[in-house]
Order: sequence, then structure tokens, then C-alpha cells
Amino acid sequence: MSHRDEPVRILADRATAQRIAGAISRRQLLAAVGGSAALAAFLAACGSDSSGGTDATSGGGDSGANSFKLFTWAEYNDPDLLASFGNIEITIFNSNEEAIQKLVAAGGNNGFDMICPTGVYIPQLVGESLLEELDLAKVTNFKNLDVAYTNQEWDPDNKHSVCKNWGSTGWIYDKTVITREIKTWADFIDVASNEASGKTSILDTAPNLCGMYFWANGMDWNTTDEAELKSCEDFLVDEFAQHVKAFDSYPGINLTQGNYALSMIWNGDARQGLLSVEEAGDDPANYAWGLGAPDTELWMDNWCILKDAANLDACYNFINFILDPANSAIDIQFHGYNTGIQAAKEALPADTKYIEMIYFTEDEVSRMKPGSLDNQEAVVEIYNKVKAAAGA
Amino acid sequence: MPKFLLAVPAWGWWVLFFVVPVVLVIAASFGTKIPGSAGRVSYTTLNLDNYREALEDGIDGTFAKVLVQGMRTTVLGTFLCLVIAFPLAYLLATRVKRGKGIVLALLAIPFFTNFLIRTLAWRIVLAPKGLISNTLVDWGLLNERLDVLDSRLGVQIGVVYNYLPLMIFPLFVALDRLDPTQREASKDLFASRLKTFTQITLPLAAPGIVAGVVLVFVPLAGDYITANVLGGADGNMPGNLVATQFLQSQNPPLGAAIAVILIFSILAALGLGFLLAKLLRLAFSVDRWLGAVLTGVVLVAGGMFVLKPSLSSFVTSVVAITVIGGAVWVGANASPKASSGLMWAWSGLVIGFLYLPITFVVAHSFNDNKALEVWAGFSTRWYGEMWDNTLLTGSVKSSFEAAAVAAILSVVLGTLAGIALARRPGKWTIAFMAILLLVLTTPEIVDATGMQLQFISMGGIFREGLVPLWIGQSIFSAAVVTLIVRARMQGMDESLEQAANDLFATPFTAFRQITLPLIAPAVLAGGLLAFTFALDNVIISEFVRAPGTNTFPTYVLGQVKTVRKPDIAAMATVLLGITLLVLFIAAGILRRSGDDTSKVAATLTGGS
Repeated sequence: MSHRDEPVRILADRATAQRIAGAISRRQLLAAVGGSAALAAFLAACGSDSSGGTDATSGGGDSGANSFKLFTWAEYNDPDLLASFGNIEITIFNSNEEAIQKLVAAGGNNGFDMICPTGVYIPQLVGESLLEELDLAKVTNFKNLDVAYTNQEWDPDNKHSVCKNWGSTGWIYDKTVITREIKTWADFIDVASNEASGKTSILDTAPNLCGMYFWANGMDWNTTDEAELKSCEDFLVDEFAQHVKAFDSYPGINLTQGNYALSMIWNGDARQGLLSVEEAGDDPANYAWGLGAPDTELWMDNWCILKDAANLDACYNFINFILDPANSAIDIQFHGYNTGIQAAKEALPADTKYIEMIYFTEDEVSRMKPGSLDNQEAVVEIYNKVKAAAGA
Repeated sequence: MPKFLLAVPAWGWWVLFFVVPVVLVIAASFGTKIPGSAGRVSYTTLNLDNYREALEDGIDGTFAKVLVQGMRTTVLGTFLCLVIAFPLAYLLATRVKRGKGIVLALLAIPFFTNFLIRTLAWRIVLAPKGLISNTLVDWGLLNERLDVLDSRLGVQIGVVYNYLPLMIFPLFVALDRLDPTQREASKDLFASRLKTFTQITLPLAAPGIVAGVVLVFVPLAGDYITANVLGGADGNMPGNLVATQFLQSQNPPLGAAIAVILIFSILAALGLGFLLAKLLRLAFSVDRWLGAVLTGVVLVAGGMFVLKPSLSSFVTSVVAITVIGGAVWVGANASPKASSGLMWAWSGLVIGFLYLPITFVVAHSFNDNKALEVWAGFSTRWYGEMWDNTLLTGSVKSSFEAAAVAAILSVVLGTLAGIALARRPGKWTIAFMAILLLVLTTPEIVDATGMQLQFISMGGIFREGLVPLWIGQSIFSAAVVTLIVRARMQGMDESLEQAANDLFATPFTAFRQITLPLIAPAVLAGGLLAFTFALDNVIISEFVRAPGTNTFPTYVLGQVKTVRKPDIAAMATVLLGITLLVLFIAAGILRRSGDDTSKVAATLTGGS
């Protein structure tokens, strides 16, 4: 009898009894302990590097003079430059609307210290009491900014903002697919509707989408004229939407990966796209950049401190840091936008690539028109309809 | 102590954090956006304006178009999942004798890779300048570079891929339970194999099919992530409109109205589907040929719906259905060996399909390029650089911490409720199961938007740290644990617990010494599953996460629309390794506690 040693069982069968007895084997225990140790080590690795940032916030005060949380656009500062300043934790957004919604939903600064909104959205942020009033006396490097980029209509006397950089909108296309030259927004629309149909990306923001139509047709892109808005909607929904492949705010890299043949794009992103073409060993000569014409956008993004920021000192330190011409020059080479600091332009190395995409000629600048919020609701509505039509 | 009290915590939890949010969504859909407030809702004057706006212009309206298009993607996706999964599940359940566990594990691993990562992976696989595209062009199989990304086809591939496992496992569990003697009996009675299949196997597998269809259809209909990642302008889904209204356009009431219409559409579509299935079954019972013809008509009509009605979609549908029907016929009439061979070949293809994107993610984590998708040489740089990205590593840490607490919450609530359900069923079970099923079948986006409204109005700890994530991620998981524990308990006889009672053990001692060890494997499996779901969760986490916190998925989601770097692939590869390790250990523990492999796999994957 082989079962002689086993105790007699009445209620539970052998398997059940074994389970109730619940003996965990040594090997199991070792495996479990080993596994948890590995996991703990991994989590410790994840935690250690960010401890500076988390400590600063969990303490709730100004514990680190160079630690703060920044809410901004993607690929918008040189990571190495930021690292040389201190510990900056970046959360990105894709549109001003998205950023503002996040803050409003949070009922405050959402844990962030600074935000980089586009100028025309600043009044809305101020209206929501989301921004801290700046003490310009603390912004000692404010003087480095050209006066042309201070005291803007949407923020008189820079009460809430300091220029980060400004830029414009144009297009970039794959010359192996599109053989004719795109000179105006009308050309852009024509190419998008023909050889680049189904291969075109449009910036994922309502004003840019509608702006394209207004600029192509010689209208003011801030129009509130019902008839003009209606004609814009009719054209975009009925005749244009079906040609759009994607709504993409950062098409630079996507384009060079072959996802699009034609993209509406901001100048800095276009430049980054061309740089990444080189990095991937492709030929940048296959792509052409053009600034919007006859009219196009002028936007300015800004450094703003959020109300009740936990790391106020770090914010001021950083604004001064980034307004320093030498630092600004490093940053420009990365993001490719004019920071409004003349000395920074002069500090750029002579071999800075695609510098003509950063600094525009006077004639080019004269084509750029600032936006407004006058027709925001109307253009957002059109944009939603175009998106739906593109997907139907 | 009446044992149904054990179910009260779970019930209360769901009332608080599921029912209330859903009610809030419904209320908000009748509310108004406070002008200029960037998205706050006023409930003072309830009205139908949001519905009017959502349904403006009727069938040609914005939302209606997206809804119809979304339903097309959903119906087709569910159908494809069923057709792709069935032969595999059937083969596994009926033909594979040994190594079932290994095959099931093989099928489960892709499912344990992060949802967003495996979706994003398709951007690498299908990249126009990617390996596959280049190869196809080089071999002359394509004239132009692959053009699947940012299109409806891309979304369709993505959703089939993402939801396929949710079809395979219920089907397998149902087919695995079939008693082989029934099929043998049918054979002994001279029924053809086709007849055995249609008259014995299929009806008996029906619960598995129903479970699979519901499990795939509901999340797919509410999914906006896959469309967001792969769809471009063309791949809009209704969930996207809801998310846009909440997260971008600052108009929650309109988003809520769209969400409510979406729920009703899902219910209507499912209801219609099951009604049709009932009718067809009735037709089959009257006459086999009548049933077959009607099935064909329904399928062709369905095909024409999903492909947009036209002559060519009619032809395509007829051809597709003939091919599928033909495949079933061949499978049933070829020699058993040949049909097994065919099914093995198919299963191999499916497994290849499941692993394709994961292989690409792992490969591209070694990409020496700033852009994830374009290969620029081998490098391990991202495995070093990812540690400098504190937001990424911080998000991973938060992910684990939030998921651990969510899993513990789910296990406690679910285990207690599962015990109560199995041991003290009564009238209360109906109410309880109703809420549980609602939790399981409500599209996540509805719960997510509701919780956002709720947490914002509650404020305090509900907007701080990981608390909102603990709560948000535990809702669904608690329901899953409940079901797993209940299934396990139902299979066990109560006499042991009664014996303990008779031996004067206090209820607590009896629970600790008898019940708990017996259900330990289910609790462990439930906990692991809850942990994985929580770790994987995107939609709820994205809506409820507190200011400044990110989980790994929400971090990746933030990167999707910008510049995707290989560091997320490197991190995902590390996480996959950890997941596999944990699963391996859990499977070991389950096996040692006496389960056979297929049971282990079934428990680990949530089948009960």
C-alpha cells in the first residue's frame, strides 16, 4: 500500500486537503521573494531620479530653488539646457484649449508652476484667475527682450506674461510626391485637393484650419462676418475635409517618416523635422518648407506663472535663466523659434542650420497677422464639423 | 451575521463611484455650459439643448455620421474577432491534449503588454518607411509605400488586434467545457461532422460566443484611444467626440449628451444583434435551409452596413461570407487530420499577428533615432536615457503604486462579494448582479467622464495624489474579482465550512483557515488580473488623474500626438519583462496548488 503514510480523509479530498494545509514550498517562496525584490529595485530606480521633483511638491513649498513643474508644448525646450538649470518636470499639451480645460477642471494650477500659453489665450486665463501677476522687478533679464515683443495687446505692460518665443505657420512637403511649387495658401489647398489628397495633415487647432481658408481668399482670419464664416464652413466641410489625412500639431517628424506628403506646420517644427531627416540619414533636399502667403499667422507663446505656484522662486529664476542671451541661443538651436532677444541671435553659432526658418525677412514678417479670440467659438464649431466630415 | 453583508462594501463602492458618476453624466447632459467658464456645468435649468445640438442636421449631422461610422468599425471588428478567434479556440479546446497551458500562455502574453503600447506598436509595423513597407515595395508587391496609418483601415486592424484576446478566452472556456462525449454521441448517430458542429458544438458554445461578443463589442464601441493613435482624420470614433468635448472643447454637457446617446446606441445594437441571433436559431429549428439562407441574408446585410451600402460592398460581403462558410465546410468535411492541419496553420497565423507589433516595439526600443518609428541603427541609448526622463520614470512609479492599491481594493471588495454571491444567493443577488453587469458593460468613457465631474465637484483628496486613480482603477477590477471568486466558490462544496462551524470555529477562524486557503488561487489570480487591468488602464486614468500625476499609459498618451521617442518603447520592454516574471511566478504558485495548466491559464486570463 503506497498510501499508508497518509492520514485518513473524510471530508476533503487529497487536493483540497493539500490546499487547506496551504504549504508553500521553499521554491515558491524564493521565487516570490526574488520577484518582489526585482520589482522593488526597479521601482526604486524609477523613483530615485525624480525624487527631487516630487519632494519639492510634496513639501508644498519652495524647497528647491531650481525645481518646478512646467506645463508646455512638446519639444519646446532643449532638454540638456533645462537639465543644466535644475529639475524641471514637463507635462505637455497639444492645444491651448486642452491646456486651459485641464486647469479649469482642476480648479487651479493643477500642480503646475508655469505654463506657456499663446498670447491671445492669456485674457481667458486671467479671467479664470489662473495666472499670477508678475513682479517684473524680479525679472531682471526682462530688459534683454526687444520692445517689439513686450507690452502686447493681449497683456498690456506684461502683467502676466513674458515672451517665450514667437513663430508662424506655413507648409512643408515631400518633393518626391509633389512636383509643383507651393507659393500661397491657395496653392496649398489646390495641392491638398489633388496630388496630396489623403496625404495632407492640418494643424490640430481650429484657428489654423480656418485661417488657411481665410488667407487663401484674402479675408481677415479674425473675421466675425457671418457670410465669410459660412463660406469657410461650406468650403472646408464640403470640399476640403475629405482630403485631410490627419489633424496633427507636430507633423515635422511624421512627414519625414512618410506619413504625409504635405503638412501645415509651424516653422520651428518644420525645422526640427528637417533636422530629423538628416539624423535618420535621409536627404533633406527632398522636402520643401514655405512660409504661408499672402498672409499667415503670427503667434507668440509666453512664460506665465500659475496662481499659487508652489515654486515661485524657481519660476523667476528660470525666466531670468531663459532670457539670458547665451541660454536663449542654445534653446533657439533646439526649438527653432525667435525668442525676441537680439543678443541671442547674435550669439548663435555661424553654422546654425536652417537659420532662415528661425529669423524671417522684413517682407515675411509683414505677411504675419496676429490672431484674436473674436471668432473662437465660430471657428471651433467649423473645425469640429470638418473633423467629423473628414471621418465620415 | 447574514452573509450577504459581505457584499455590501462592493455594492456601496459601486453606488458611490459608478452609479453616482453615471447619474452625473446623465444630469450634465441636460445641463448647460456656463458661458466663458471654460467648461463648468450648470444644472439649474435642465433642458434638451445638448441633445438637439448633438443630433443637429439629423443623419447628416456631425455626430450622427461619426456614430454610424463608429458602429461600422465596431460591428466589423467584433465580427472579425469572432471569425478569427473561433478556429483557434476550437482547436485548442478540442484537439490539443498536451501543452494547452503553453499555447494559452502564448496567447495571453500580448494581452499583458500595455494597451497603448501595443496600439502604438502598429505605427511602427505599418510605418510607410518601415521594414514591412520597404520589403513589400522591394519585392514589387506594392507600387507605393504602405498607406494604412491614419486611416479607417488602420483603426480596424488596431481594434481587432486589441480586442481579439477578449474573444479568444471566453470562446476557449466555453468550448473547453463541452463534454466530448456529446460530439461522439452525435457522430455515433451518423450525424455528419458539419451537422455535429452546427447542431451540437455551436449551440453549446453559445454562452461563450455571447460573452465574447459583449466583451469585445462594448469596450470597442467606446474606445477612442485606438482611433486616436491610428486613425488620423478618417478614423474618428464617437468616444473621441465625447473626449474632445470634455478635454478640449470645454463643453462637458454636450459631451455628456453624446455619451448618453452612445450608450443607447450600444444597447440598441447589442439588442438587435441578439434578437437576430434568436430569430436565426428559430429559423434553424424550423428548417436547416431556411436558417442557412436567412443567416446569409443577415450577414450580407451586415456586411453592406459596415462597408457602406453599395454594389461593391454587396459583392465583397457575399464573397467574404462564402469564403468563411466554405472554410467551415472544408474544415468539417476534410479528414480530421487535414482539418486539424488547417486550424493549426490558422492558429499559427493568429499567433504571428498577436506577436508582430510586440516584436517591433522591442526591436525599436534599440533604435538609435529620436523618432521611434524610423530605424537608424542599433543602440541601447534609450535604456540609459529613459532614466533621465523623470516624468516617464515618475509615471511608471505612480502606475505601480496606484495599481497596487487598486488591486488590493478590488481583491478585498471582490472576494467578500464573491463569497456572498456563492454562499448566500437570494433576492439581493439580482440587484447586485445588475449593478455588477452594468459595471462590466458600460463603456469606460462614460464612467470616466462621470468620475471627472464627480471628483472635481468633491475636490479635496479626490483631486490629490493617487487617490482618484485608486478609485477609478478599482471599479472594473472589483467586478472581475467578484466573478472569479464566485466561480471558484460555486465549484466547492460548503460542507468543509460547515464542518468547521460544527467544530465550534468562529466564523472568522473558519474563514481564515478553511475558506481563504480554498479560494486563494482565485484571489491571487483575481488580484493579478486586477493589477494588470489597473496598470493598463488609460481612459479612466486620463480623465480622473489628479493635477500633476501621470501613469505610464497617460504619459504615453500625451506623447502619441507629438514626437514619439524610443524611450517609451524601452520602458515598455522592461515592463513587459516584469509582467512576464510576475505571471510566471503566479502560474507556478497556482500549479503547485493543484490546478492543471488549462485551469491556470483560464484563471489568469479571467475565464472562470
